[in-house]
Amino acid sequence: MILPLSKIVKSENETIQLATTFASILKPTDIIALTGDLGSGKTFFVKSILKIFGIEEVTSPTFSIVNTYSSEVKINHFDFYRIKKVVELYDIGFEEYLSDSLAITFIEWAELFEEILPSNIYRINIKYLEDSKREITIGIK
Amino acid sequence: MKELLPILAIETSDELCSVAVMLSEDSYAEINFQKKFVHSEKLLPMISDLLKNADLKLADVNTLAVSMGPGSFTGLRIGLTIAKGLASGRSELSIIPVPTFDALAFQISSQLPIGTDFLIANNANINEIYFAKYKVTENQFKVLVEASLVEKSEFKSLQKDGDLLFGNYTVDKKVFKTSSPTASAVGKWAYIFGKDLVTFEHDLLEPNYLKNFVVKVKK
Repeated sequence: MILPLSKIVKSENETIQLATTFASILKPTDIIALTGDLGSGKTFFVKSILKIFGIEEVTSPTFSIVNTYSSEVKINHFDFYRIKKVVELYDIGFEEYLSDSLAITFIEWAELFEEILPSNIYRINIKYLEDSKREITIGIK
Repeated sequence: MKELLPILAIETSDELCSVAVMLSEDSYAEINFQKKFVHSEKLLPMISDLLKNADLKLADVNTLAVSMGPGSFTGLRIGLTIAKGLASGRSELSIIPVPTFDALAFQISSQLPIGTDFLIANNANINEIYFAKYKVTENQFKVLVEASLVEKSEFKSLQKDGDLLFGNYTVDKKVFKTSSPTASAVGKWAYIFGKDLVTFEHDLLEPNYLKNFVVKVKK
């Protein structure tokens, strides 16, 4: 997979394919920030990646703020959507989640708290075009 | 002033989960468990076994000494939560909040020749480390650089030739890292240096992460 990359996917299946390819380059300590409008498919993209790691029952962390999974790797799946102040993230030990040497961390709505994100991370933007057509941009780490 | 001993000491600032009871100036019992992610499960049973072995009841303990950080976010919360729990409803039980790096420096310095400079550097988060510098002196040690949060990139410039290095930031993974004190060192530090820190206001104690979680603005 050559990054940065910008691709228009026309179906869920194409999205899953792209997620699968991207999953193969991920390793523990990687952080992936996902941006894109409500309903653009951020959670779907993460779900598709986690399937590759053998994690099936993935739910949106919008309500819970963070979900964690353990399989071959550990996964932290954050959603900043309901966070009001950055202090709330510090208060739940956000930095400790990120510095876990065994975990890959996904962050939806990452743009809401840019100031807490490390510099060396993957950035994925998902843009709604129509129906199941999306433009997915993956930035270089 | 009330007698401090016996002191029950709790250390959970890093991977070492450690509890000790100081019985007198020169006797203590200690249990250690070096493993990630066991503290919340093991700390209370360890305290229970420790007191049993030392023929003590919790009611016999006069002081709790707790390692306050800097250190692991969750680790410090576990240690302090359990200390507060043990102290709840016992307003006569005092807590001594122990600065973790000073207790570690106290422990390390007892094994080094006078005049040695040594550093403690522990991982804090992705970009930063907890850093402090000490010198071994005739009365144990002197603080050269107070424990502080520094950028990893600054570390090289803070390290001088001849400085001995402790902590989990740069030390080889094959040995057990001396990145946090044992509980006996926490207890002994509390006994010798902690008299001014004694508090009965248990609820006001908070772990020390060396920052007030001030929001940084990205340049």
